[in-house]
Amino acid sequence: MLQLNCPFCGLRDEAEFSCGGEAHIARPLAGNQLNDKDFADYLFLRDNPKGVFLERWRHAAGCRRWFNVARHTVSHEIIETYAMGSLPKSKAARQAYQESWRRKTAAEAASKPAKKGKEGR
Amino acid sequence: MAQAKSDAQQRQSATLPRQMPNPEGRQEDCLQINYHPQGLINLRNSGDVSKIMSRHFGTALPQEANRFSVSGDRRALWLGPDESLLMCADQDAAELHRTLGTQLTDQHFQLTLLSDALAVYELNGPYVREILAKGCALDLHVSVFRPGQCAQSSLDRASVTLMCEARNSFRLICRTSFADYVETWLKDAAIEYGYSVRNRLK
Ligand SMILES: [Zn+2]
Repeated sequence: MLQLNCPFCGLRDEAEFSCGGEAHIARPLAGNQLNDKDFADYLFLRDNPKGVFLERWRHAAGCRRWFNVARHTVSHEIIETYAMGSLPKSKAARQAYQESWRRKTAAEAASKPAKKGKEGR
Repeated sequence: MAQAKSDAQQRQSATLPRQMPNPEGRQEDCLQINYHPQGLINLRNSGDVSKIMSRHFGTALPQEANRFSVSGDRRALWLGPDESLLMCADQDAAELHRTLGTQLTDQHFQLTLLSDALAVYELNGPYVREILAKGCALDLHVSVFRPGQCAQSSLDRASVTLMCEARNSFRLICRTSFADYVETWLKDAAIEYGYSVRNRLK
């Protein structure tokens, strides 16, 4: 039985949690110019790595809050849990974040507002 | 259908009576199961409510996660970073719901009356922790789960909130629709210690 460290409740049994799949999938902004293939990266494609995976979990039977988990899919080691909207701190999880194919997608680029100062030039 | 249901209920109560003596005659070891209706209000709020709660409820919300604050027969339980459960005498709930609704005007909030949605049991007995631990994965040891702590978890798949009132005294909150299941489960788990049900959900 795994135990997960809920950011609010501390260590609780896996049975109290539900997994919400891959974390850090940013929604492209409204008015994006993505074609269907690039938009499908955001909407349909989910990673399934053999190694460190960043996931969203919810403390379903407890405080019912979402948070992120860095989990090794082979050893089931829970590397760290961290708050929604933040990035992992451990070296292994940061590396998994940076090296994900998703960082290079047009969908992720289209989720960030255009940098100020470049507009109108 | 109605006939079939009452047959099932009769079978259930015949299997587990309202009282079961301690098998070795130690009546003080029995689990006391007391269904105790309470006024319950769920509060979600976005700002500081400490002044309003102290003045109109009697106690501020707990500062720490998974704790409850106490004032007389009132309890304020932490359920989440922006969510609490207020417990008061059954007859006070409607008035309290109105009062808090008129006071919490400076912020985004939600007050929901849950007195009928949730059932509250008082559980007393020297083996109450051992009995609950049969169906709950929380660490219920006296050194870990201490008076003033509460936790949402599951008791043999039913969602429950446990409150530690004292070393041998707990309150259990479950959905009213699960109360019959939870009560039967408690009786079954307590057979080896003996039990008595004082008050029943009608
Ligand atoms: Zn939690």
